This record gives sequence, structure tokens and C-alpha cells, in this order.
Amino acid sequence: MQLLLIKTFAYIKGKVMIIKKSIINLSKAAILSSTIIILSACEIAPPKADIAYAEATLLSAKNTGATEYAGVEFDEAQKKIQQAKIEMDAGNNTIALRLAKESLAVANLAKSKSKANKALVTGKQLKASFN
Amino acid sequence: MQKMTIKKITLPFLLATLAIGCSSQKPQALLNAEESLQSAANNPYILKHARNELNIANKTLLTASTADSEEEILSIAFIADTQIKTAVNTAIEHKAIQINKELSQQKDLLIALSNKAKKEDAQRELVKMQELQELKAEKEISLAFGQIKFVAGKSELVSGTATGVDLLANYLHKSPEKSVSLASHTDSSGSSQLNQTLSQQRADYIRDILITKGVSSKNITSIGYGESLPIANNSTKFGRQQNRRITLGFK
Repeated sequence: MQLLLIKTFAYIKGKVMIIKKSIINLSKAAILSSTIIILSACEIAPPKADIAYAEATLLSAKNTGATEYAGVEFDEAQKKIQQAKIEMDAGNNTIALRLAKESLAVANLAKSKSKANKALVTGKQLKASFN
Repeated sequence: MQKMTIKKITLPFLLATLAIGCSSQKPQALLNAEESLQSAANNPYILKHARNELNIANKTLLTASTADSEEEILSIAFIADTQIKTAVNTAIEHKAIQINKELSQQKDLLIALSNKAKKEDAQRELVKMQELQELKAEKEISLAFGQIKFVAGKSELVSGTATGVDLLANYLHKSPEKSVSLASHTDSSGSSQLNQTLSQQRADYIRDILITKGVSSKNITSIGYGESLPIANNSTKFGRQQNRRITLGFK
């Protein structure tokens, strides 16, 4: 009878140990999963569309004569687009998106400045033609 | 209307300022962008011609309140500042186009005036040339009239001396606005009464020939002066020849 009790106790103890180990493993898995979820929630999708939009706007600026009439802004927008692509390739999508948005604004400025300078140059030529 | 638009711009701008201001100390770049936006919104010309651009910049500044890092706020400030510069350039372009339009109109007007002046100059030059040509033609006709010879004592031309009359008829045909006065003179041979009559008959004879050649009688005056206006001495043959003449006056 005593031997039976000892065996039963040992069996229960073993089961409890197994359960404890399982709980620890489960906790570890849960922590790992949460970390992965949190980390993946912080990073965004690659901003391919934003970069493409900035590139299209820069091309439009070029067509209005931005390389001639707003060279500084044109170069700046171009550099920012290149940087955005580098960051996207490196997986730094948040930085890439920020740079894409900045390059879009600068490309729009290049376009607007180009049009303004062209109109001013036309005005100068018109005034000169009066002499 | 303009005041309302400014309010539309400034109200969200102030809200954005407050929202960001409550959360933390604003970076200088963001403060600068806000100041630039306010300054641009106070310019009626920028507001009129680049309202959309200003609204875009304003919306960008509003997003700063939800930014979760300083880098993002700085990026937002940069984008807003760039968008404000875009608005300023859009307004500059509009103004320049307006000025260019006015300049083009002025230029067209000047060209038209210049063309008119050139045309008038050309017309004056043409009239001058025509006058010179007329003067030359009248001189040739007068010279030819110097060769006209009448049969002695009669109002008939000596054959082959009528070149001047033909020239005069052609000239008056080509220039119908011109009129001519024929003044006939004689020498002092014979009685003055007879000379007076003869000179008038000779002047009328030339007038009649011109009329038969198609010249309007309104454009011809014929006067006989007889021997009253000699230009040379009647005591010599050469002098008398000089005095027998028909002179022309053109008008």
C-alpha cells in the first residue's frame, strides 16, 4: 500500500513538471510572437507608389524646363528620390516614405519655380524688344 | 470675400499650432514654416492665385500634431515650407503672365503705330516723287512749247512743230486734276490791236486742239497778251523771235 502511494505521488509530480515546462514554453512562444507582431506593426509596406509618383512629378517638372529654370530644386528632388530608393531596398520603409514625400514636394516646387522663371524671362525679353 | 478666405486658412492653422504646442516644445523648423504660411496667407496676391497650394501646406502642418518622432516633425516642416515656396512661385508666375500680357498688347500697339507712321512716310515720299515727276514733265512740255511756230499773221501752226501740244494733251490726260493756262504773246510788228487779237486767237487755237484731243475745257485757260509783255528787244530779229511765244502755267 505504501509503495503504491509513493509510485502515485511520483507519477503526479512528473506530470506537474511536464505541465510547468509546457507553460514556460508556451509563455516563451507567446512573448516571441508578440515581439514579432509589434516589430512588424512598426514597419510599413515599401512606398513604391509614393516614389513612382514623385518620379512622375519630377519628369513633369523637367518637361516645363526645370533643369534650366530651377536646377537646384530639380537636383534636390532627384537626390531625395535616389535616397528613398536606397532606404527602401534596405528595408527602411518609414524613412523611404518620408524621403518620397519630401521629394514630391521639392519636385512640385521645381515645376512651379520653373514656370515662374520662364514667365519672368519672357517678360525681360519683351521689355528688351521695346528698345 | 478675401477676409473669409484668410479666416479659412488661419483657423486650421491656429488649431494646428495649438495642437502641436500642447504636446511638446515645437522645433524651430516647424515654427519657421508656420510663420512662412502666416506671412504668405497675409499676401492677397498669393492668396488669390495660390490658395490651393496654401491649403495643401496648411494640411501638411496639421499632420505634425500626430507625428511620433522629431524626425517626422522636421520632415513635415520641410515639406510644408517647400509647399509654401511653391505657392509663392505660383503667384509670381501668375503676376508675370499678367504683366507679359500687358506688355504684348503695348508692343502690338507700338508696332501698329510704327507701321502707320512708316506707311505715312512712304505716302509722303510717293507724293514727293510724283511732284518731282510732274515738275520734270511740265518743264519738258514748256521746252517743247518753245519750239511751236505759227504761220506769220495767222493762228495756224507750222507743220511739224506741234510736239509740245501733243505732250501737253497726254500729260493732262494722265493728270486730270491738273489745269493749264496758255498765255500767248506776239512781237511788236503790226498794230497792237491786231497783235492782241492774234495772240488771243493763237491761245484759243491751242486750247481747241487740246479739247479735240480729249482734255476737259474746264482745265484750260487761254489768254492773249499781244505785244504787251516782251521779254526781248523787238528791234532785232532774234528779239522778235523771242517775244513770239506761248507760255504755260500749271496748277
